[in-house]
Amino acid sequence: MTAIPIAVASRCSTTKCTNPTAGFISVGGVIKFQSFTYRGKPHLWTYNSGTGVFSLNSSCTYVFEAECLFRTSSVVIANAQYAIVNNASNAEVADGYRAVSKYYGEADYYGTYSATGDEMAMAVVDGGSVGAVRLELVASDQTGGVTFDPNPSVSTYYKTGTRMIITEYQP
Amino acid sequence: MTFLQVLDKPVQVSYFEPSFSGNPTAGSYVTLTAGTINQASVTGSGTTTISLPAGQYFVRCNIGGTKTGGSSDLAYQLELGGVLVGNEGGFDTSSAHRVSTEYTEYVFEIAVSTNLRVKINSSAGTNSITATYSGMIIRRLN
Repeated sequence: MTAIPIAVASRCSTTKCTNPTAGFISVGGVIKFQSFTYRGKPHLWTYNSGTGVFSLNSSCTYVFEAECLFRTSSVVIANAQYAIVNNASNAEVADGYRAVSKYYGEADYYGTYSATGDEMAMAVVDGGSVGAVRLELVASDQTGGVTFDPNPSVSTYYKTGTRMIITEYQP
Repeated sequence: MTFLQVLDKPVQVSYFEPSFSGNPTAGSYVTLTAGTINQASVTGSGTTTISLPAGQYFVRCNIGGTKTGGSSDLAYQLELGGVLVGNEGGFDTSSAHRVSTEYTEYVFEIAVSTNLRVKINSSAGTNSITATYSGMIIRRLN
């Protein structure tokens, strides 16, 4: 008999963040979520919708998993890289990695870009060490002022959108 | 018969950073270095073999980095107790027609302490593994 362990509802809060504020942002811009779906225990983190910053509970451990859908401000060959950032130090969370989005044509993406990674950014955060985090557009291969909208109002090609899962492991 | 087991204990989370010096070659193993969070008491940091205490786990490892272009490819997989497990992860490259999921992951239970490694199954072109785009998260569920 095989047992498949699942997320622990009694010690865990899971939140799906969606519907980020629409509008073009540059590298360094914060993705600000407006809608949330909650499961499990009530979460202990708090959120500032104006800044997009999540304040963490010092007794909890967090796992952030974020995936973004962008449109660009002009037709370009570009990628976007985003990550969970420590709001105090402005550095990417140490225990985590960046996502690399894909853009505009197989030949361009695969042939031109050297950076490769998952399209999901991930981070593990000790709320006792890191007080607050944000999801940020941290880099792009594209130069020349191209900006990125994390909530395209017209989505011809995609049926999914920008979202982030927060799993809060409580003691 | 398979059943879902709902657990009522704190989940322990550990983070490891995969690395490799130079161009990874098929059959080699990446070095795994503990991050700042290692609640699951995983040992062996800084080597290619880490040891997990007995328990139930959900492990995901993602390797990213830089590549030379469309001719590059890199495929990797978890190896638990000397046996390849879970799905194969890999770089996103056109020549290999590889898209979508890049990471390898596996859910398992071990009754005794067991070694875990990340094996390079295949490699083409010139690739490098960088911490910026790579990471392994270990969730010990009991």
